[in-house]
Amino acid sequence: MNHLTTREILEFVDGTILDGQRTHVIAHLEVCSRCRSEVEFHRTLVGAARRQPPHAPTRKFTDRVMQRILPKGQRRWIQTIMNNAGGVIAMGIVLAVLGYALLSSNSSASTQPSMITEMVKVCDDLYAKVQEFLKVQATKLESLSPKPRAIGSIKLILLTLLSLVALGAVDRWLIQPRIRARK
Amino acid sequence: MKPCVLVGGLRKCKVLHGNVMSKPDQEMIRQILAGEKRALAELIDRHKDRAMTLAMRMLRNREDAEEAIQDAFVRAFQALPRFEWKASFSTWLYRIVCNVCMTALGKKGDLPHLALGEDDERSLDAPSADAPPDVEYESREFQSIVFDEIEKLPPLYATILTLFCIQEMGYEVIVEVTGLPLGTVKVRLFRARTMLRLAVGRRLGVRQSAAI
Repeated sequence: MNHLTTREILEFVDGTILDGQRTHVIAHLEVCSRCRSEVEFHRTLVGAARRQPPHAPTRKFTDRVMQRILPKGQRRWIQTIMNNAGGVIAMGIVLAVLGYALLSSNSSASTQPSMITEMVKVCDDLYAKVQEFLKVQATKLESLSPKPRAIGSIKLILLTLLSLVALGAVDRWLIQPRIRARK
Repeated sequence: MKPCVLVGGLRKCKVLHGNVMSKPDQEMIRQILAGEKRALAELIDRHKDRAMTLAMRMLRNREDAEEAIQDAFVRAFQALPRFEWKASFSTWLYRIVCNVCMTALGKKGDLPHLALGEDDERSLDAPSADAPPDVEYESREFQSIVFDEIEKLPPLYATILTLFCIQEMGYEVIVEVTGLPLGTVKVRLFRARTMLRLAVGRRLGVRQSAAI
């Protein structure tokens, strides 16, 4: 018996076979189990191929494409921040240190708190005692070690600005080119 | 992704996980041209996996494939205002992906080409292969064998098979995407399927004889 050709089987599976040939193929399939199983096998193969999981690009793919498509001015501010994350974090740390230094200098200059109620008075007394104790301890320590040189506020601001400029330069000329090269 | 269905000339895709009918490409493109960035991200998300699968089959390298589809998306969106709807957006996009991948292959010196005799349709008129082995077609193992064997097909055939099976394109659309003549598409697709059938049959046959 002459079996069906590959073309006949595939066209029959796809439903693209011509009407005249279809009749011949169907008649053959009724009597030939080998060709029937071949047709079934091809159908299953196409089905299995259609169920294959697609290859997915990496997680940030969409963001990267959008970054390339959108003009610079239209990019989302969050993306700009993320791109300069190193600089932003460093700036935050510098500002936090600066703020802490300024706040602590203000609190040391503040006077004794004045309160009305008795409870607060008790607390005040305790606070005063603790402060006195600490002052005595501080004086003792100062007499033991040489006095450190205080940094003036102008120097502090200048140092902060210098560090910001340095961090900006590192970000622009060292970090950003590497990020771009990796992309 | 589930199969796309043509509704009133527009392509609507049913999103896997949830039977929500998402907006057709045409509407999303209108929104993109009106400056809606969310629509842009959504359209990229919709097509990126299929584009990546196609590029992977052609380039066989993850990094190269991702770079290629990135370029393809950028080119497509930059040319979007000039898009004329002669074909669906996906057909147009996959054509760009194909072109970018071919350029990448050309740069590497890997541009696939066939000897003239290889596209000869007469080879398809030969009797079919030996009877297929008796197997459990729905099993996970069978699926995994089919996946492996598609990955092993030469890029030329794997590409056509991907467009036909995974993208579920008809011959005419494959012709549009690849720019190949209809006869060549048919022959390559039939050949790809025959190669896949033989490779899977061989694997299953070996497995069966080992079990005996």
